[in-house]
Amino acid sequence: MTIECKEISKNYGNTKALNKVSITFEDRKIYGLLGRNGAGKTTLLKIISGMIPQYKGKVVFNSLELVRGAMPGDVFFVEDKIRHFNKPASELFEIAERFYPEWDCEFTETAIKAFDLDVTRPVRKLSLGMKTMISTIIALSCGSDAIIFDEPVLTYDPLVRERFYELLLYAYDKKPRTIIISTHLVDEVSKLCERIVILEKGRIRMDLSLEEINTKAYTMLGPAGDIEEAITGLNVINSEVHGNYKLATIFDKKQKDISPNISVEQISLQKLFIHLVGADKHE
Amino acid sequence: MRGVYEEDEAIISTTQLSRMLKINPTTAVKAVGQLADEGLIYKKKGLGMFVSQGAAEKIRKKKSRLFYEVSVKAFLEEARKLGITAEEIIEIIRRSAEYDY
Repeated sequence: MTIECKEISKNYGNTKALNKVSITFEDRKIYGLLGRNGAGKTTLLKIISGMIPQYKGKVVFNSLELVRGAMPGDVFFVEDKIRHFNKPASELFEIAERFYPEWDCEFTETAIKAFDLDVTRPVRKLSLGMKTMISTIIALSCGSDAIIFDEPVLTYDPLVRERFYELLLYAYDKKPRTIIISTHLVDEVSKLCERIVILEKGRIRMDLSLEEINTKAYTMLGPAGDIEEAITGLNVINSEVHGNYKLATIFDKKQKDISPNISVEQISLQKLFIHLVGADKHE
Repeated sequence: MRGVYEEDEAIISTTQLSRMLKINPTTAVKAVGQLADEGLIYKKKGLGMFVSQGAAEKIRKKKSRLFYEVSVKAFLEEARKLGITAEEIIEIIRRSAEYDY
């Protein structure tokens, strides 16, 4: 399912949570949504999921506009909270299975095993991580055309996170669909994604394929004079001077024929993210 | 190079690759596409990708070229910065090689 956001704005009092955000999440692609605390990630995801009815702009699913106050049936929103539920998870899954015609039982079984989840204990008695597993399993089993994960791995230990990544890719392979994952674990989650979107202060800062990011983000380290010459005309997002040396972080095409005194290194998405959205505090 | 696959042997599918490395399936498809573009693997319709004849030799040639152009150059550059002469380098290499083998 293609999800189109057209000029979405949302204010909380005097705070502009989202400021004319226009973005298209293409059908059957996995997106990583990054941004600092308060950048507007959750607000955007909740608007798409129909959980915030008051906003300016439009949300369009496959050319069908979201009606304000309605919950889009094909979009599943997962957050790290799940309501108290006095029944065991097995019963919750049975109810969900009856509710969703395209429910994938085989996947549910695989996921319960992979997460090593006790489905016999009442859900309210489970740990926060286990509750997140339950909503994640429902999201990936229910067959919806779009799944939105708001910080899906926050409550997971590193082993469970790995299991989650495997399950997500398994579910995606069984049924490709639009998936949006917001996270602060930039490098870990970005490997799963085809495109990365960065929100900054309620606006889209970047929307690029992972491939493009990997070829465009790099650092150059060398004598200040050589660096100055090499970075002319390039988009420099950060530079640090250490003695006679200069370290420049570039987000642009690679420069040919640079001085042999300069060493070029690729940087991680996390580093790029920090330089892109953290630039203001240095100035 | 390590002999994991023989020539004309099938390699793992992009789906398996994606799940093994926990990477986006499109990334896996692109990576395999690059190997195919370099002629290291070829496609058999409906059966998947197979290792080309002479693939290991091709990689060896490419890596040898990179070894000279990248590793050796960087090594000599570092030596020059440290003020190590060509004679000394030759001596160091000879001694290290004797010790290792």
